[in-house]
Amino acid sequence: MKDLTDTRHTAKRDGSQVLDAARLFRDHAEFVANFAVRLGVGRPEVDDVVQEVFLVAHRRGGFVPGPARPTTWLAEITLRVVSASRRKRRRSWEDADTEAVAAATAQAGSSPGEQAEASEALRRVQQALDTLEEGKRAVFILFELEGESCEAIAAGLGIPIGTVYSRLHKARKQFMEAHARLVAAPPRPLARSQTVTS
Amino acid sequence: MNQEPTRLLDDVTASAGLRRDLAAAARHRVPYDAGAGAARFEASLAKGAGAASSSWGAGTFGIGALILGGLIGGGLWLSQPPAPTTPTTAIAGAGDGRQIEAVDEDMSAKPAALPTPSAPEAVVQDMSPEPATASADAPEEVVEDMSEKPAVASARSEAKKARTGKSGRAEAARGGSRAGDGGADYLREARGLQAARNFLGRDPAEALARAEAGAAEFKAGQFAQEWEGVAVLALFELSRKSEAERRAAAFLKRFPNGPYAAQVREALDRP
Repeated sequence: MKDLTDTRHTAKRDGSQVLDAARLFRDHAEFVANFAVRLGVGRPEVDDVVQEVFLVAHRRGGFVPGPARPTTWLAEITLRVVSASRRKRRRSWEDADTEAVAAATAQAGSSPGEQAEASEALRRVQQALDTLEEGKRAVFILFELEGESCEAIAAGLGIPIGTVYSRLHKARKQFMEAHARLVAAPPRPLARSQTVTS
Repeated sequence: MNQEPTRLLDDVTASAGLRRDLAAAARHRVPYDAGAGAARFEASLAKGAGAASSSWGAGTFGIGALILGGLIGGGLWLSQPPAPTTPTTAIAGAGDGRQIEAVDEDMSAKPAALPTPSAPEAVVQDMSPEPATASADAPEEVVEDMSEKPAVASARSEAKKARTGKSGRAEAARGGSRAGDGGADYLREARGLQAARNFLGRDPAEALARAEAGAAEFKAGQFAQEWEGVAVLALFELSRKSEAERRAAAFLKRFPNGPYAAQVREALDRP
C-alpha cells in the first residue's frame, strides 16, 4: 500500500521525466533489444539490458533532440551498459551469440528451407560481428544494419565523424574478411540451443 | 561536407552472398515483449524513486545524527583537559571500531556511527568517506558516466529531422498514436496486459476476459498484438478449439514474427 502511494507520488513529481522515459521505451525498446543482441548479449540477458538502458536514459533526463537521433543516443547507452555487464558476467555470456542465433532461427523465414537459409545468414553475420572490437562493431551495426547516418552515429556515440568513418572502414574490412572465411568454411556444428529449436 | 558512404547492402561491388546475409540480418528483428518490458520498467522506476527517497531519509537522519554526535563529541572534548598530542590516526582507528558497533545497533547506517567521543576534527574526517561509500553502492559505472552526459545532451540545440531507414519507418508507423496519447495510457495499458498475461496457465477465463476488455479499451493502443495473443492462448487453454484455431490463424497471418507467434504456433501444433 505504502509503496503504491510512493510510486504515484514520484510519478507526479517527476511527471515529465517519467513520460519521456516511457515514450522512449515504447518507441525504441525493440531497437535496443536488437542492438544488444547484435552486440552479443544472450537472450536471457536482453531484457535486463533493455531495462538498464532505459533507466539510464531516464536518469539522464530523457532524450534532448539534437544532431543525434534517439536511436543513436540509446545506442551509446546500450554500448556502455553492455560493456559493463559483459565485464561482470563474462562467463554467462560465453554462448550468447549462438543463443541469439537460435532465437532468431525460431522465427526467421516461413518454410523449413527458408528458415535454414535465414538461420545460416544470421549465424554468419553474428559470427563475423564477433570478430569486431566493440566500438567498431557498434558503428558497423548502426550504419550497415540499422541504417543510421554517420552524422547521427557520431553525435549519438559522442565521437568525431572522422572516427566514425575510420571505424566503419576498418570494421567493414574485418567483417568482409570474416564473412568470406565463414562462407568458405563448412557450417559449424549446431549449438545445443539451436538443436533444441530446430 | 563528407559524402555518406554507400551501405554494403546497396554496394553492387560487394559480393552477392554478403549483401544477401546483411539484408537478412537487417530485416530480422528480435522478438521483444514490449508489454512485459514496459511493465517491468515502470516498476523499476517506482522502485528507484522509492530507493532514492529512502536514501534521502537515511541521509537526513545521518546528518541529524552527525550534528548530535558532533555536539556530544564537542562537549566531551571541551570538558576534557587538552591532550598533549593529536594522534589523528589513533582517533580514526577508534572511530572505526565504534563505527562497526554502532552500525549493528542502528540499521540506518554509518552516519549514526560516525560521531565519536573524540575531537570534532575526527568527525569531519570520518564524514568524507561517506559519499564515496554511497557512490560505490550505485549499480555500476554506467551510473557514474551519466553525470557527465546531461551537459552533452543539453548542448544539443537544434532538432534534426528523422531521415529514412528502418527506425524512421518505425517511427512513422507509430507516429499517429504518439501524438494524441500520453505515456500514462501506455503504462496503464502495459500494466493491464501484464495482469491479463499473469492469468494464463491459472485462470484462462479471466485472462481471456481481461485480454478482450483490454483490446476494446485500448483500440488505438500499442499492444493490439499482445492483447490478441493472450486471448488466443487463453482460448486454447479453455479448449475452445475451433474459435482458438480460427483466431490463431488470423493472428499468425497478421503477426507472423511477433512476440506471441511462437507460442501461438506451438498451441496450434499441440494435439
